[in-house]
Amino acid sequence: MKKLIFALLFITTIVQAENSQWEKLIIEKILTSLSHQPKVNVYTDDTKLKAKLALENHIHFTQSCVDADFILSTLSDKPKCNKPKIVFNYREYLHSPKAIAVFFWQKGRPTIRFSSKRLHQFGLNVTGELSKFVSSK
Amino acid sequence: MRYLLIILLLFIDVASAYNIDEMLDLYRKDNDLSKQTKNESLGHLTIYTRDDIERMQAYKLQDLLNSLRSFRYDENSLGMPDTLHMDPLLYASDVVKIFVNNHEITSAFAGSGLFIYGNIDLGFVDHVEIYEGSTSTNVNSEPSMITIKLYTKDPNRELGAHLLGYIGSRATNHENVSYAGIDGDLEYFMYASRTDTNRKEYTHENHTLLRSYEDLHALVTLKYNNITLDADVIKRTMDPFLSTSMFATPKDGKIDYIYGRVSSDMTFLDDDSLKLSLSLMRIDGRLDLSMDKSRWSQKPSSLTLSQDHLETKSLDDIYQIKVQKDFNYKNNNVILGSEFIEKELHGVKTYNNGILSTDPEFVDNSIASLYLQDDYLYSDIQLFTASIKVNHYDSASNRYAKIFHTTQARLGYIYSSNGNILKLFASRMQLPTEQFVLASTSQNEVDLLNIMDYSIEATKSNNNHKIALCFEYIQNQNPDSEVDIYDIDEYYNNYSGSLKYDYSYDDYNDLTSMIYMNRVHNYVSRDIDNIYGANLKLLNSWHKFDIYNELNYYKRSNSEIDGINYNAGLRYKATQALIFSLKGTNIFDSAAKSEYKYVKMHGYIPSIESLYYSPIDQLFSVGMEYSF
Repeated sequence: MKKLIFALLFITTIVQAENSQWEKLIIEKILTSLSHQPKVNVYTDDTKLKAKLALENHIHFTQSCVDADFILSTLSDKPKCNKPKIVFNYREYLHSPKAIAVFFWQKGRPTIRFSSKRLHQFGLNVTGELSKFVSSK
Repeated sequence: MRYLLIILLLFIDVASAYNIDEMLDLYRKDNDLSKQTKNESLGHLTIYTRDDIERMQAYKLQDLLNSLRSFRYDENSLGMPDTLHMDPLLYASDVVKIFVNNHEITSAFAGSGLFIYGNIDLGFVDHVEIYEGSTSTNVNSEPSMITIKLYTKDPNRELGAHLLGYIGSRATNHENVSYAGIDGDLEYFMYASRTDTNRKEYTHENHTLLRSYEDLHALVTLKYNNITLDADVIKRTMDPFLSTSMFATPKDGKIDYIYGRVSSDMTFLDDDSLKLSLSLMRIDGRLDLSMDKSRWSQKPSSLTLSQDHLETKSLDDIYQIKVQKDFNYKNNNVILGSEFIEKELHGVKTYNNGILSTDPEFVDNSIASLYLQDDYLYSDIQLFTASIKVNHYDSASNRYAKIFHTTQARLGYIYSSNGNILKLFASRMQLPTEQFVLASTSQNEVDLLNIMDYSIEATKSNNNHKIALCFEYIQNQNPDSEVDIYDIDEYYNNYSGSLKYDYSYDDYNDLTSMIYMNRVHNYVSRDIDNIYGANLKLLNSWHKFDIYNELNYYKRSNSEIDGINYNAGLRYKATQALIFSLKGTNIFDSAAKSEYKYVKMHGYIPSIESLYYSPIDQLFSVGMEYSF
């Protein structure tokens, strides 16, 4: 019983700590809404982003973008592989033909947008509750 | 191992219990810009986040200034924001400094930009930080007791267009439009608003007292790599309220000004540790006042006239340049900086009953400052801070003491561990306000007001509860000349204490509360005034509704100032883009009033009487906002 109380106290601490990590949960949700595999192969050059997502169950980081299903791109990296990209900057989303999704701020609120045209080009579709973020833009 | 697995499974369940909209909203709260800008070592901090401002439906800065320990929103006899208002002084809030994106808004006329921004619309603002007590010497150009920092909306977070409007009692209305975009490396945010504030009218001895005002406001923020540029223009036309009337019997009048500002920040070196800030401001003001008798009339002959008319035009120019370099050495973060400010009130033309005044007052002060600050991280949980600043004044408007120096010094200690925070600060400041320099033109030397400020704040957080105790002692050492001439005490001692309790039920339901007491040595009446206050605020969210309730109690001894301000609001988020709102301010019309003194004649015998009017009007409003 003592151990259970300890576990419950610990979980409360974890949940509070994890409140600061909504970003990785949202990114994981974007990836799983695009993939039907239990584990999504992802490539990124961004070490900070990699560290944030390292413990996520559904994400496996590849050494090369060739082996990846998706590329997580920030402004600092420019992988050349022809793989669908999820970006974090609206400017990059507008100008990169491989950017299928963007997680960005609009009118003071974070939001998600998927490009229906680019999803179609890569033969992808969005499932679940994130399908409402698919846009023709 | 088995328990760790259970914990992980439980956590996965908790995370998956949130839908994507809730996750995005919690991410928004967690990444509020105030977390990037706040600085606990600057003083005793109160933050109004974007979320607070929206849920409180705080349309104007004054809506955020009624639940603080050391001051409340107040107005002077001209109806201008003056939080430390002390009639019959024309303006008393020169130690209240206000900033927009770390650029100090000031004026030669008032020594503060509060009279412009104190009741400005908040549509362009992301969040507000309020520091009570003295702050670090690298913040303000001159000493301050209250620092209000406004941060404009970040173009990178505001992509798209936004419209907001509300209409309320007495046809008060406000409309604003904003647009943010990205073009290559250029990020921009543009904002324009119009506010027509129709205030409650009062009658005194058959004279109507008006303090309505109309604002036109435009603001642009540009970001290009490591360069930021802000520019804003405010055009205000306002009624003069009690004007400068000796008998509180204004007849007619108008105050209008156009305020313009351009500010820029640039950072250099790979780590952005070298920063250059530039700012230019101009206030083109005009007063046109008619009344029975003006307090400002200096000519005995005007006392025989049936009406007094004052017309004044002036230009208030501010030029600022600031260079600052941060160094890191072992556990020290050292800030070395220099600042130069030129404050000019010029082009003054005053006509009293049509006759041009031959001796117009003006201000022409240059202040060159050098400051040094060291934040020493003694351990992971303890920080010591020390700073010193020397101001070199070159005052062309002072006939005798054109050159003089002032110093500021501050020591601080901050302990922070497991939700327990202790802050200790001690400051010594010297203050020559613009008004004081003007008043001292007959002195051979500029006497300075010496201020000592000691404060302590202890906070304990436990799960969802937070309790904080704060105490501040301020000693003003009056200038020798004032002590000798007016036979006043050499030392004025002020005390202030508060007890706060906050409870956060969950991410969407919060309670904040505070009781406080201030003991103030009134330097006009020379009495000791005790101020008692209590604040209670509830912010709740339920489905698509945000509910806001706030109660402020304020009482000042030796006066009729005693009342409760109750505000309530309801927001309905029809969609992510469309929001409807309903708000009541000072719902029971029972907010504490302010005191305005005037002269009452009993035949040929005058007496000093007081009028009491609340700075907060009763206002009911409905609003709508739309993003696209």
